[in-house]
Amino acid sequence: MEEDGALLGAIARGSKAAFQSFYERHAGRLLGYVLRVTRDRSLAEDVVQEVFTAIWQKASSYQAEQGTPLAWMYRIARNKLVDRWRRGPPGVAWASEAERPVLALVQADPELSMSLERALEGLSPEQRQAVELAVLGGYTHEEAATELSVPLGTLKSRIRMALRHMRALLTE
Amino acid sequence: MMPVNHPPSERLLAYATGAADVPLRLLLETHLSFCPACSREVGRLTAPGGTLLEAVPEEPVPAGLFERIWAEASRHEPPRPVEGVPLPASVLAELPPAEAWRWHPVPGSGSRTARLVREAPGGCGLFLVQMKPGARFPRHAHRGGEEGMVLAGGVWDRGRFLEVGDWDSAPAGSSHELRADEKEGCWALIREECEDVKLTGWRGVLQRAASLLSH
Repeated sequence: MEEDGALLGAIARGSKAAFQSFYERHAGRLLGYVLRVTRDRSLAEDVVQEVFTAIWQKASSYQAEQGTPLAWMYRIARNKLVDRWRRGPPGVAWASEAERPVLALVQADPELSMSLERALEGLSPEQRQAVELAVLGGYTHEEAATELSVPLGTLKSRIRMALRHMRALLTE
Repeated sequence: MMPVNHPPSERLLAYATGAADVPLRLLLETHLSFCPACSREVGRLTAPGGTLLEAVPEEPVPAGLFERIWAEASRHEPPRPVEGVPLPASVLAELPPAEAWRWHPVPGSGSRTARLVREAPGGCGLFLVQMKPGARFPRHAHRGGEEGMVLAGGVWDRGRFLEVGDWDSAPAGSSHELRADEKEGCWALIREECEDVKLTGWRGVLQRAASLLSH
């Protein structure tokens, strides 16, 4: 992790070599994540390209307080995916629920994230639904609240509790 | 100097979970660049995402992908800082270049505004506001909510003096006026819901006339 932070520092100073090292360390797992969400290799490669371009441009903004370099990269990737979904044609519903990334995660192969699975299993069913839709699924909080038929405040409270619980489990 | 006024925790939650729209995301990222306390909270909320990425099995990367990425990235040099406007690189990278910002003076006030991001016609937008030292941003009403922060200098709003990094909000239906610091003036970044700020008095008449002419 320290090495990733140092690489981001060098990228911020314009080092192509550091950029390539960061790419070689993480492109495979980033592509794995985006592919699971999009299920479209060509689209996934485009998103990976967008994410690394953003890393090149934004490396100087990385702050260790905001989490690990991987958490930072995850946030960039998640935002790129969410922006693509939101830019979709207005009024057109998802072709099927299978296009929702949460299902991609649920149906992902069993190798995926033992620790994450463990953390999700530790949640109450309500918290798990809230996390799957609003954190992993790309739903807005309003959409997720509607989907789950709960008030918006209740949904946010469940997400907050779930994230605290997950963090505690993941850092045990 | 650390900010004293922070975004509500639900806003940080929206940012951390991807639920924030683009103007809100950029506004929050700017606040985070000034605020270690909110940065740490976002770090706590997004830790599971980093763990997820760490645990995802690697996918074979196609040959030539790095070259493709480098060809694209090297066309997008890290954004140049804008003098006097301390926006972080992560935000500048999402904005049009400063030369393309279209400034609109607020009549007779020593203030001007530029819209940086527009979500959709009638949707929310992100604005940069510059107020000269001692300038008054005249009383205006909000159909939607307003959230914003001070980028440089300082400003008085409803009896509070806000300094660099400080977060501020005005609920839908409210009205207020602002007065910039007498010495430094103020730069502020503002997210407006509905992009609908109605000036009052003679400025409001001018605003409506300008709106009619532009249609």
